[in-house]
Amino acid sequence: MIKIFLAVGLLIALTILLALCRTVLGPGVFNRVAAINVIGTKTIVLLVIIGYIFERPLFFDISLLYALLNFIGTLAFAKYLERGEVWSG
Amino acid sequence: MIGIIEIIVVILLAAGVFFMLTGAIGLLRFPDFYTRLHATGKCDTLGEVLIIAGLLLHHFFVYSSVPGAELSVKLVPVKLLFLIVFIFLANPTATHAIMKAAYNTGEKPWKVGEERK
Amino acid sequence: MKKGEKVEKRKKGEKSRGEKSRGERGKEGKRGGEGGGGEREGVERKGGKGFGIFVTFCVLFLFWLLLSGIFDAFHVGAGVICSVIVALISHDLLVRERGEKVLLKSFRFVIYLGWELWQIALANFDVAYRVLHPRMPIDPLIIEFDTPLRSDFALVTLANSITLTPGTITISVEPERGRFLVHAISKKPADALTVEKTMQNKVADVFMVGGQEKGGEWKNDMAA
Repeated sequence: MIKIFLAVGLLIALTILLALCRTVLGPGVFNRVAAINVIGTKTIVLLVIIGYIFERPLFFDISLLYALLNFIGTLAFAKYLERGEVWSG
Repeated sequence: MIGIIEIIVVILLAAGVFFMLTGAIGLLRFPDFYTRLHATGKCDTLGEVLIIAGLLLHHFFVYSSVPGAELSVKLVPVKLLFLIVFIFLANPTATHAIMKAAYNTGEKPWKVGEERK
Repeated sequence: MKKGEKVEKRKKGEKSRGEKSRGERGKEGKRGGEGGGGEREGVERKGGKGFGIFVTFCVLFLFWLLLSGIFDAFHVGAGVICSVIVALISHDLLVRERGEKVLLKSFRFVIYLGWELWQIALANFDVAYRVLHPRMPIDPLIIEFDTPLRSDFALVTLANSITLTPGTITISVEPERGRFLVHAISKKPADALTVEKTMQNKVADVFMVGGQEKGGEWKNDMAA
């Protein structure tokens, strides 16, 4: 079973590489932000799989935390690009 | 010996990886920003949910049902279930926020017959 | 500032929507900056702010217990203290209004979730087909339609469902008229939203109960 997890992890790394191509190529800032969001969500799954390969149950908590951070980061970036400021206090 | 649970887990993992690769290929192939968001916002979410559901099944039947396990190992399926629900709610919202920002700053959508952007 | 304007309009216009005096006083004290979002609906909070604090504390403490798994005195005590502090600070983000017929709506909502999961699983193959086909048959267009839903939760549910079923993504939502601006990837998903309206009818079945007829004049004042 560990071999199957290793194969899945390598395929996810390949997906991250393809999204990185779009980050470099994409004309304008919106394509790049969408590609960074994709890389963030792939990282969440990759952390869970690494937790299973190395048999450490701490990685599930780290991936839950990173899911929250990635979501808030994308929202803050979208708000900044739309209005020019994040918090209109 | 291969049990029935392992076959289900491998099927779920394979389907999840297939959808994720499709999402990434769509990110490279589609001609416009809006259509690229179509590919990633949907296929990525489903692929991730399938992979984490497969890992949840694997954990539940291999580690959690052993009687001598401690509580923080038995509660791992609950954490993975939170992760699934959160990804279902958060990924479409982030996609929609980015698309709204692009629409309000004037990105033009692509029609058939124009060149790639 | 946009948020300030919205609050001003609510104060001048309508006071006729079933207000209770205790809830009204509770809201006046808290109207500050964040008030613009929730009062659009007009259903005042029936229990005051104690109910909001209690529900937020219960939810947060439940999450603490489920995620840590350790039940000795130090951890449970730290959980209680942290949940109480966070519930006192930000309880009005979670519990805004106490609508009617919550149990019936929750039951129908769970059934709607089952139908939606089936739709997602079935129709994601469509996007995979469009991506991997060598000719890539896409024909994007932007459509716009009105719905009779007005509450926060119903609009968010419909927007999420539109974004999750392949073929369409929500661009923006106007809460005053329930107007959705949607980007569709070809003619078929666009027709499924504007002509057949399957998804909108199902969401309307969940959230609009008691006294509205379907297909005719939908009334404008509905609780959550």
